[in-house]
Amino acid sequence: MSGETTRTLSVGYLARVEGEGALTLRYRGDEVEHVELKLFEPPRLFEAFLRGRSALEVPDITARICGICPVAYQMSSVAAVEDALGVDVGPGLRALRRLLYCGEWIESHVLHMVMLHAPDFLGFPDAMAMAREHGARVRDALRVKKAGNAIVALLGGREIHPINVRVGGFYRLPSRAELRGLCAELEACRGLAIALLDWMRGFHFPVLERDYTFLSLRPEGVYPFIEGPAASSDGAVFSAAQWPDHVEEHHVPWSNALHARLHGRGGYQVGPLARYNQNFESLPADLRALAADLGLRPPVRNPFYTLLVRGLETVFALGEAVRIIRAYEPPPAPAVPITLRAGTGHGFSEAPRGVLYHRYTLDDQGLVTGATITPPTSQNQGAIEDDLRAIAPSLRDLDDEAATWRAEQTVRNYDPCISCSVHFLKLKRVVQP
Amino acid sequence: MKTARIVGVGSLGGGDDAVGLIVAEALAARGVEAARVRDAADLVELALDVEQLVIIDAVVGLGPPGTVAVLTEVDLAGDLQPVSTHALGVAAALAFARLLYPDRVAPLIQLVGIAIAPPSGLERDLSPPVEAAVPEALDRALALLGGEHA
Repeated sequence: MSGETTRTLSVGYLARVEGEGALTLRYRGDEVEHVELKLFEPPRLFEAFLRGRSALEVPDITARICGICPVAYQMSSVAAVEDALGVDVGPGLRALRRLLYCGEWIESHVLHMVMLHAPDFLGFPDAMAMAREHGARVRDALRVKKAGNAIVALLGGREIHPINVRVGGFYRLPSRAELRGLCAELEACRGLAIALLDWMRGFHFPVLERDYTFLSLRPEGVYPFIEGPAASSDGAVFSAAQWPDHVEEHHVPWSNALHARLHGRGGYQVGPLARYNQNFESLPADLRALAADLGLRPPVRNPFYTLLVRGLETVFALGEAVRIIRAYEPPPAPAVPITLRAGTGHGFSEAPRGVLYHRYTLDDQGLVTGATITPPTSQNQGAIEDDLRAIAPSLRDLDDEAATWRAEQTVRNYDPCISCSVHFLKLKRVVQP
Repeated sequence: MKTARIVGVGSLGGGDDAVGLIVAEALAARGVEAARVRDAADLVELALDVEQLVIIDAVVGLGPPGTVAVLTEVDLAGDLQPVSTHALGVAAALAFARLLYPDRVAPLIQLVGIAIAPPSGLERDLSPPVEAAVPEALDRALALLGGEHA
C-alpha cells in the first residue's frame, strides 16, 4: 500500500435546483477518480402518454411536463407537429410566439439568477438570508418576474399554464390595446434588469475556463427563440429534421437521464452561453455595448459568467417584448388551417436552459405513434460533470461544507431543470445513502 | 367584514399536485373569487394588502392521502411541505413576503392542506382519495372565510 488516501465528497441532495439530484466526487490521492451527477428524479412517461393522442393535443399535454418552462415545451411541440403536417404559421403568428417566449425567459431567468444563484456568489446559504441584506434586489427581481408572467398570462391565456397555444397558431389573438398595456411595466423592468446586472457584476466569479463545444440555434440576424438552424461551435449546421443525424443520446449507469453527444465527436453545452457566444452579433447594439462594458465579449468560456449572460438575456427579452408589441398588427386569423395526416415532424426551440428538441410520428388520422423529447438539462449533464471534474482538484483541500458549496454553485450555472430531464430508459431509482 | 383572498396552488398534469387548483376552480364555480397559481413565488405579492389569505395546496406529510387540515404559517415552517414546482415553496414565499413587505402582509394566513403521497411523475388525474377530499377542502376554505361565504 502506498499510503494514499481516498476521499469521497457526496452531496446527497442538491439544494436550489429544480427536481432532485445528487453528485459524487471520488478522489484517490491527488487524482479525481470519478465524478457522477445522479439524477434520481422518477422517470417521466410523457413520451408514452403522448402515444395514441391526437397531434392537436400535443401542446397541452407537453405544457404539463415542466412546471417552469411550459412555453418551451409548447413551442418545440408545435414546431414538430407543424413540420409533420406541412404547416407554416407565417411571420405574424411567429412574432407572437417569440413574444410568448420572451415572457418565459424573463420569469425563468430572473428567478434563477436572484433567488437560486446569486446567494452562492455572495456567500449566503439561501435567498432568504440574502434578502435580509439585499431586500430591494429581491423585490426588483420579483417585479421583473411578474412582468414576464404578465406576458405569458395574456398570450398564454392563463397564469397556471398556457392554454392559448395550438397547432397552427393560437385560439385567441390579443388586441393591440391589451398588448400595449404591458409596455410601460416592461420598460420599467428593463431598467430594473440592467440595475440587477450592475449589482451582479460586482460578485466574485470563480476562475474556470473550459473549451466547450456549444450547441444552439443560430438563425441569421436574429437572437434565437424558435428559429433555426442549429449550429455547433465546431462547425456543424443542421435543421431540426437533421437532429438525429447529429445528436445521439446514450445511457450512463448512474443516472436515469440520458446523456447526449454529437455524433463522432463528444459532449457539448446548450443554454445561455451557447446562444450568446453563437449569436452575439444579433443582439441589439446597446446590449452589445453593455456586454463589452461588463467584460463579456464572446467567446465566454467561464461557466460562472452564465449568471451575467442570463442577466443580459433578461434585458434582451424585456426589450424584444416591447419591440414586438409596438410592431404588432393582429394577423388575419388566430391560426392557419391544418389537415391531419401521417408523417414525422421535428422541431426545436431555445428553452431558457437551452435547445429543446421534439420529434413526433403521426398516423393517417393524426394520432401520435411515436415521440422523442430531448430536454436541455439532459444534454448538459456531461458538461456539468466535466465542469465538476475540472474544479475537483480545487476542492480537494476544502472542508466538506466549502467543497459542497462550490460544487453546488457549479451545478447551478446550468440552472438544471431536473424534473423534465429524464426520459424513461431504465426504471431504476438510485438513492444516495 | 375583513378583506380576504383565496389562492389555489398547484401544477396541472402533476396528478394530485393539481388539487389546490381544482378546489380553487370549484370555489369559482360557486361564485367565490379564487386565484390560481402554479408558482408559489407569486404568493409573495398575493399575500399583500388583504387582511386574510387562504391558500389551498397539496401537502406531503399530512397523513393518508385525502386528509384535509387547516395549517398555519408555524405549521408550514416545520416538516409539512406543500408541494412546490419551482424555486420557492409556499412557506418560503410567505416568509419572503413578511421579510420584504412587513407592513403589507396579511396578518392572518392559513393553508387548507390536502394530503397527497409524494408526486411520482406525470399523472393526468387526481387519485381517488384526493379527489374525494375536494368537497371537504372546499367547505373548510369557505368556513375560514366565514360570513356570507360559509
